[in-house]
Amino acid sequence: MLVQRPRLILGNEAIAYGALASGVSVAAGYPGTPSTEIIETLMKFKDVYAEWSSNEKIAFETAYGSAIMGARSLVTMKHVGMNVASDSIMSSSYTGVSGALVIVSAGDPGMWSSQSEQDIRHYGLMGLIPIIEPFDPQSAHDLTMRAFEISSKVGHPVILSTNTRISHVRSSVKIAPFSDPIRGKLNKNPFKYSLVPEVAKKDREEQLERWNKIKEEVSDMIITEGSGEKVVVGVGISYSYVKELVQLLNPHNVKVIGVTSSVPVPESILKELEGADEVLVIEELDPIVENQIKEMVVDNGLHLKIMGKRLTGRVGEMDMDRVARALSEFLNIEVKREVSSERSLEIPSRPPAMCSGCPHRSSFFFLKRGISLGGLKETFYSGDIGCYSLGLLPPFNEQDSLISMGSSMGVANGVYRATSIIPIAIIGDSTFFHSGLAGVANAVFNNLPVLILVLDNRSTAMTGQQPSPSTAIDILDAAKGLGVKYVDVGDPFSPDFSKKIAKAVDWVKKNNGPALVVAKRACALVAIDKVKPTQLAVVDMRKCTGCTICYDHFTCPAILKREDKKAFINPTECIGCGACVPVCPFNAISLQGEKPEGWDEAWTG
Amino acid sequence: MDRLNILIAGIGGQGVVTAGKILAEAFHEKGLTVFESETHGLSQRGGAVTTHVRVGNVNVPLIPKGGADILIAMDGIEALRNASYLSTDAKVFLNESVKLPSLPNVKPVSISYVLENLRPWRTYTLDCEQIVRDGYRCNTVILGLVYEISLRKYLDINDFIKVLRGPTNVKSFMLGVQRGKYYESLAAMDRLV
Ligand code: SF4
Ligand code: SF4
Repeated sequence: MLVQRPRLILGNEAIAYGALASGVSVAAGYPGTPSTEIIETLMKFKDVYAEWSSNEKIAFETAYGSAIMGARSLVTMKHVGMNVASDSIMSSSYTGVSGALVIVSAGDPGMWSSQSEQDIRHYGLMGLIPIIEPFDPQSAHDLTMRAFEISSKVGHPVILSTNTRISHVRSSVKIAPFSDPIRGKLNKNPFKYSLVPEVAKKDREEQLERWNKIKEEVSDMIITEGSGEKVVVGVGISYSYVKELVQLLNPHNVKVIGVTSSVPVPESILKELEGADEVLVIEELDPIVENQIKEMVVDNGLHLKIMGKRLTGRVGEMDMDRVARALSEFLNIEVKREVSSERSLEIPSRPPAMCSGCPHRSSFFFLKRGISLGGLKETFYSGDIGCYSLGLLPPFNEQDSLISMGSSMGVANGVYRATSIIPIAIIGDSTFFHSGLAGVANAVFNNLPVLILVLDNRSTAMTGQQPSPSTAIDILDAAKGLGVKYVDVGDPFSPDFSKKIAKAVDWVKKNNGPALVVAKRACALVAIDKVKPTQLAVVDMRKCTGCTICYDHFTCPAILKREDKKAFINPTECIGCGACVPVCPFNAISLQGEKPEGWDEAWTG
Repeated sequence: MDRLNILIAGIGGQGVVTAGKILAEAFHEKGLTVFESETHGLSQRGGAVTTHVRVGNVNVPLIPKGGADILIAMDGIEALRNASYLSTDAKVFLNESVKLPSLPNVKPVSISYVLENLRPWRTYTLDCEQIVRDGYRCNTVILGLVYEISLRKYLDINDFIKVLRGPTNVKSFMLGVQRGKYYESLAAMDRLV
């Protein structure tokens, strides 16, 4: 095949280019680390329709709807997004598709920015959907094309399972030439696509037939190197670790097998295991391939010892040390490591912080004040997923739980029913439209006394400022439409905001129903992208008393503590947002310099 | 070269990812196999960030503990946090400053504490705040220094110039190279006496 000169690109870009080479015409996704750059890349190509949907289920249904019209379509999400979309994904395996449908799910073993590490390959076993697993950016590119090929040939959805160490790795990739996008045309077939019981029963039979075809399609998706009675099977990224270590250690009598189809595992692997007496399967997270191989071995009456999770462990990312330890035990060799002396050093942890000028910091600051002003002695902060999840950390400590997108209101409901303590549900604007609406409806329907605080920073900020439906739909209107009687909006940079909170709290106490307040101010990164700041906050050292409020309780990263406890503002970090001005009880902080043009509009936009 | 492992550590917003990208592009320009791996934290800024750059005969994106040949640290605390990645004869390039996390009541860490704990390794320092005040870009200055001290045997200066994009970066890079030459002349003097 014709290939261009290799380019240094991210794994996610490699996946997008693989889709372009396969004639993708419709792509949809919900942003989520580490999957986001796939849609971002496709958005640069005008003849492909690419959108950010309001959640993963809608994104999946968009791609599915196109694929049943015969188009080649792609949907992307992070691993936990699969949970949101799974209801429709499971049905798609029954109906199949007529074009091609590739689902990219980007996992986050080690939980760099996720609530769990969850092995999505279980969805493949459960729903009879093949799982293709690349092991580096080049294979991510090539296997995306393979996924499209299998999907269109069999007429079945295919999952491409990537992870942080593939999606967010840059390396040289040979890119295949792009194909013309393959679109669909109107094609109605309710007796295939409308899953009423009669149709579903017939579809189930067809699904199993397709599954058998898929087993044939993936039969060559193993790579074999070397020979010996000891066999090491590496799956996905783990195959890369095994390859590098085997090069380093150069053990003899070892066969290495790379598996790129983890569900179903190619049955051809059995032939490769002939003559082996011990097998070690190395894969991230759960023993999906290990168990399938065990099943095959038992079914075929072979005498083989299969090891895996017992030697590699089940938690977190795979890495060289883990694989080295497992290999040394399996091969009974010593792996020398040049680890430098690990002394215990006293170093403070450095969790991510809300940016300088972040409106959430002010929201949390004034929320706390407003609640005590409103006379709530104790409360439960029912949190949600977004930048504001960082409100969990001190000094705020205002996220007592957060489990999944949109969970704030449901959890608040449970907390109230169990304790009769009025909770505060905190949710971002993008999350509100992702899956918060049903929670609002429930709060109205079941009369939940709750203060719902929507942190509306006009974007899906955590994943890189993708647009949010809040820029097209007014959150107050949506809430009113759902029957919320008390709605209000305010600017979190203004001390009045705590009064608005207090008033709403008071209303909740008196009326025993949900009230909703929107804290509306743009993400600081979006604002400074639009307007270059020219003001700076400065501390008047004569007025500053060293009360610690601005650096220990407000904690804008630009505000530093001097040795004499007075505050000092680092001019290279300050963006001149002015949020700290009302925070100082001694009026020691003021803004200097001229307000740039369009500054206020940039923050409210 | 068989393998070269470079770890870049710092705080979100300090140009750690960009520095990694420039390094990776320079090696890619030369036609070498390169893996560059970013870590994205929970938020955009302010958290600890690392970028791993691996060059040569490599298959995986992450540097094993004890395997880094070079550590580029944009902050003292982050240098210490990643010290366990250093091989015994690694070189450290350090921005001589300590930024405390934006959390309440953090116990201060001094730069002398940092240097004391980096004593087992050859450490080259510079002062980013001064560099930025003089109109240069800190991460590119450090790359110039690293080039002069450690990468000249693998790369031509043009491999970098090609990927630096823009005169400010090139100017900064060259300043780092000068700094490196100065360090080398000091070392040469050491050898004479
Ligand atoms: S809040 Fe005001 S008085 Fe208190 S430390 Fe900050 S600047 Fe000084
Ligand atoms: S104006 Fe105040 S709150 Fe805004 S960035 Fe500067 S120091 Fe931080």
